[in-house]
Amino acid sequence: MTPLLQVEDLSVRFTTHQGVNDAVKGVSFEVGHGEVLGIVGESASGKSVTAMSIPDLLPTPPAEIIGGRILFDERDVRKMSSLERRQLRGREIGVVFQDPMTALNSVRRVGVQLMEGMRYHLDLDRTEAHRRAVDLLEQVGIPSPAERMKAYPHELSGGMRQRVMIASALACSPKLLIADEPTTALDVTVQAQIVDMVRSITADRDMSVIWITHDLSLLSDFADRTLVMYGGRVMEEAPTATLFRHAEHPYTAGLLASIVDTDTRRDQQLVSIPGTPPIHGAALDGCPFSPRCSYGVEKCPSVHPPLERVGDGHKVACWVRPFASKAPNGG
Amino acid sequence: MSDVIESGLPAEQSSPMEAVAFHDGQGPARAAWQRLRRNRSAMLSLGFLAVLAFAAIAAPLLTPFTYDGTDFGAIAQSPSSSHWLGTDALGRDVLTRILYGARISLSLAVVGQIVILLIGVPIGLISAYFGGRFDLFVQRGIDVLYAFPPLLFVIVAMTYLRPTLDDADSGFLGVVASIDDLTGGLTGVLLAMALILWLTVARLVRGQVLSLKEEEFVLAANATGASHLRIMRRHILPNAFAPVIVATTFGIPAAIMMEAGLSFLGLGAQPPTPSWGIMIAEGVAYIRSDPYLLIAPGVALGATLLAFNFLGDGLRDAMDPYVYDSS
Repeated sequence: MTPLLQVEDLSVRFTTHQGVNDAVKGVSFEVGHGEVLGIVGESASGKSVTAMSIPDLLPTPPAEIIGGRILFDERDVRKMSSLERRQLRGREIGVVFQDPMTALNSVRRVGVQLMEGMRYHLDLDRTEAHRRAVDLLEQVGIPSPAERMKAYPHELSGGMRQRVMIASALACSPKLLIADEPTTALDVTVQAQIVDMVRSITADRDMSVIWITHDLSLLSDFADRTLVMYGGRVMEEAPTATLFRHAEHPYTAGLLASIVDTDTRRDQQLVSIPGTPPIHGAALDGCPFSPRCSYGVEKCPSVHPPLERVGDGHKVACWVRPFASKAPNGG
Repeated sequence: MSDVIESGLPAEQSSPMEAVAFHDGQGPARAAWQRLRRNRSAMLSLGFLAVLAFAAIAAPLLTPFTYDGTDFGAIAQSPSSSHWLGTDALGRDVLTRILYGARISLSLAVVGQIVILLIGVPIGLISAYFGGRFDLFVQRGIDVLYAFPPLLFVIVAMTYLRPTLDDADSGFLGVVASIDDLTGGLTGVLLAMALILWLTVARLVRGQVLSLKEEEFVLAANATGASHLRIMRRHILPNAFAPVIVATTFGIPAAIMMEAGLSFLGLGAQPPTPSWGIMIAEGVAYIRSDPYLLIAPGVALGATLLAFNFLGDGLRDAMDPYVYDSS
């Protein structure tokens, strides 16, 4: 069975007054039906740009897809008309944004905003859309959903607003849900509730998910597969369990080592990866992680290593692979 | 369908603090109205304007006289019990003329603002939303027109329009001319004013839309597959409305002032239409013998302008509570 989403060799370029910045370079991955793919990476790693290019939500200009193919349900998204793409958004691909404070329109009631997409895509009348919206709010765990339909965004807490956003993304039962750091703006307990809620709803409906985060630990028991991105490239891709046990890329290993959990001792020095992520436009031809990597060899900064298959569904882009077939590393 | 709840996920509780901070189900419009109600000068102004509007509409019922009915037995009388504000040089009741004059000032101002909004809002909205060359083109056009002082532009337009309309008796211009006659020369004024005053609104809306279109909720609306028209109408425009309403409220006294000025110069309403500007112009001649002929319409004009300005101030404070709290 063909995967729901195939992204092949995607490259995205931002052209601004400061110059040209290749935010995403030659990224390829797949998402199967009902599969949960985690994309993890630091700020400016290109993870959001990669995800937002799928439903054509990048701001153009300055952004421009300069190469690659995006096949959604065996249709080439880049070759679609703007009307077809609009029907893709909301109907077949739902998107949840990072900040629920700004992603809802503050002068309109949440119920109206929730019903909008359903009325447009599913051609429902007001009563039917209202009934389904109340159902959705109940599913995402909002108490007294019928009353909440009449609320304005400022009357809801951050967690509740994000639940509304998720309800809105799920409204037309899309095949793919793209969640761009949906829990980053929320506190930790709410974060866990939201992750659990999305996991159970999407599993019930056999919906595919792309979950973007910079918190690797969040993905551990949620994502089927995880994509590690850095400097606009894929560093490592593996089934999540494999990634946690046998990460081969020095960057992934560094991320795993810097996870702080309840086993971390009180007097223990926290681990961090030395250096800072590359600044826009300063990217190298070679491996973007090489300036911060302690295992680098001579060709690392000049030639980018290919993403090579090293195990079952496990791919790594590294010349050195210092952790290959060794015992689990890090904490 | 409620499987999530049954799976034991804790439903989120709204914090008590937030429950205190906001009234349930209160939209931005109602919140603004509640703040406006606490503003005494704005409410007094609103009351005054309501009374004025009522008096203007009910003028034929409130006064036994007509605005152009001359009474040569009662020329240039001082205020008395039968003529509360006296009579002018032709024996016309001044109070009656002021009430009818309010009709002109108010209706011209309101209709004028509607026309201005109908031109300015779509142009500003579309120009900013689509941006690029189209925006550049529209904005340069606006810049050119903006270079004219508005009153001068209207005076020039009226000096051209007035004889053109007076001569026209057929075709499209003929229709406009006959409407102009029916409205006592005011349609011409309206056209000339709308031609120049929409610029401010277009610029204001453009500025709002330029920042609003970058907001994440617009991206989110896009992500639900909303069309451009829908995003503009449902998401951007409602958010841009507060400053537009404030600007319109301030635009009304400006339009009233301009009409009065044009009528004073003889370019606006045509006698015997009782425009306040015409009444002031006629009163100037009698400033020594019968000063109330000048003072009465002057006070009516001044009070109306003041009321609109107070109301505009109040609306600005009420609609944007972050700028300045007047209490």
